[in-house]
Amino acid sequence: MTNQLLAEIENRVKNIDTEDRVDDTVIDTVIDYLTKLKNDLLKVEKKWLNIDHENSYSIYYGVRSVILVLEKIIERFQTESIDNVSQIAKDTLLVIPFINYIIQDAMQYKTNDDLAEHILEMTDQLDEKAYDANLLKSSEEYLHDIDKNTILKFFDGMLEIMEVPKKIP
Amino acid sequence: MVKILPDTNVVISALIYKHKKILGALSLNQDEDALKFFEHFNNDEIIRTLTVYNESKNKLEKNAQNIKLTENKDLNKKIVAYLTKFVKIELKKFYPRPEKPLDSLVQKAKKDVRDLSDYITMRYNTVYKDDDSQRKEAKRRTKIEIKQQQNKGSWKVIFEKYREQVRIESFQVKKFMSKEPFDKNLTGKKSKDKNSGDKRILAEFVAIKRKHEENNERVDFYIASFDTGFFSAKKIYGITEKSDIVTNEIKERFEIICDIPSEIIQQCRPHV
Repeated sequence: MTNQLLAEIENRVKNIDTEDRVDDTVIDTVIDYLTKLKNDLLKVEKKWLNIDHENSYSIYYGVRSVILVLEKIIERFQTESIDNVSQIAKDTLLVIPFINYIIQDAMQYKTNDDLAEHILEMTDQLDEKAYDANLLKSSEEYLHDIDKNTILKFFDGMLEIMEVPKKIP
Repeated sequence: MVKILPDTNVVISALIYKHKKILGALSLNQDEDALKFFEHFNNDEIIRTLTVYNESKNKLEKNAQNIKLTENKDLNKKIVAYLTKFVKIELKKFYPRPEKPLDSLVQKAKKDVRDLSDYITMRYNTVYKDDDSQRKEAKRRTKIEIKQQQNKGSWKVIFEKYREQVRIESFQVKKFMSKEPFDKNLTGKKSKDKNSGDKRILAEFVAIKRKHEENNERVDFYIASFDTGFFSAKKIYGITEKSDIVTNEIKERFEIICDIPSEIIQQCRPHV
C-alpha cells in the first residue's frame, strides 16, 4: 500500500505543470497524499515506540527520519510562494523515489537486527539527499523541540569523551 | 599557501564551543581556540578527510544515544532522535562530507604510517619503557657528550640533564603506546588499536599532500589537534621543553607540522 501511495505521489508531483499556472487543487491533492503517507508511517513509528527491544530505537529513528522529510515537503508546499512550486516539485522528486526504495528494501529483512543495521545506513543516505534538496529540517527546528538543558548535558558528555584539555579560567 | 587538517577533537570541540556560546552557557572547560581555528582559515586552507568526518559523526551520534534524560522511554527516544538529527545537521554545516581520497595513495601512505608506529614502538621498548631503560639512554647520551666535546664537567650533572631530557621525551611516547595494541595476557590476542583512527587520518592527509606534490604545488602542511599522544606535543607544567617525539617523527618523515590549534594559528598567521 505504502509503495502505491509513494508511486502516486511521485506521479502527481511529476505532473505538476510548472510552465502553466498551478491549480491549488493539484497542490492540495499532493499534500493530501503526503499526509496520508505520513499518517501511515506514524502508525508504524508508534509500534516501534512501544517495542522494548535493543534495536527498536534504530528502527524508530529510521521511520522518524522519513516522517521528518515528509513533514518538510508538506511544509514547503503549504508555506512557500506559488512561484516556487516548480523548485519544490524538483526537490521532492530527489527524495521520494529513494523513500520508496527504503521502504521496499526494509520489507526484505527477516530479523530486527538486520533491519536496524540497514535502516540507519539508509537514513544517513536519505538525510544526505534531503539536505542537498533543502528538505531536511534545520538544526534550529530540532533545537526548538529539545530542552536547552538536554543540549548542555549532551555537550558536557561530549567533552568527557573527547578528553579536550581543560582551559584554566 | 597552507593546508591544515583539523583532527576530530578540534572539529567537535569547535562545534560544542559554538553552541555553548549561543546557548549562553559557561564554557570554562572548553577551548575556544578550536572555533577560532575555523574562523581564521578559509575553506581552501582547511583539509577535510573522510575519517575525521566519520569519527566526528559516530562520536556525536553515540553520545546522543547514550544520554539518559527522563523516565519516559517514549519521550527519550524522541529527544534522542532529535538530538542526533541536530548534531548531524550541525556537523554537515561545519564539516561537509568529504570525498574519498585516492585509494592507491592512501594504501602507500598507510604503510609509511605503520613504519612510523613500528619505529615509535621500538624506541619505547629500548629507551622509554621503564626507569632502567631511561637511565641507560641517559648514560649513553652522557658518554657521547663527554667524548665529543671532551667535556671534563661533572658526569653526574650531565647525566642528570639527560635523565630529565629522556623523562620529558617519554611522556608523549608513553601516551602513544597506551593506545597501541598489545598482548597483555600473552595469549596471542592483542587489544584494540586505539590509535587506528589517528593513523588513518594521518595516512589520508599524507596521501592528499602527495597529490599536491605531484602537481608541484608549493604548500605547507599542518595538523591541528588536542591529542597529546599523537598529533600535538605534550606540555608539562613548569617545564619549557615539550614532549614531542611522535610529532617530531611525523615532521621528519612526512614534513607535516602538528600542534594545537592556537600554535598553528600563530605559525601561519603571526599578525592576527
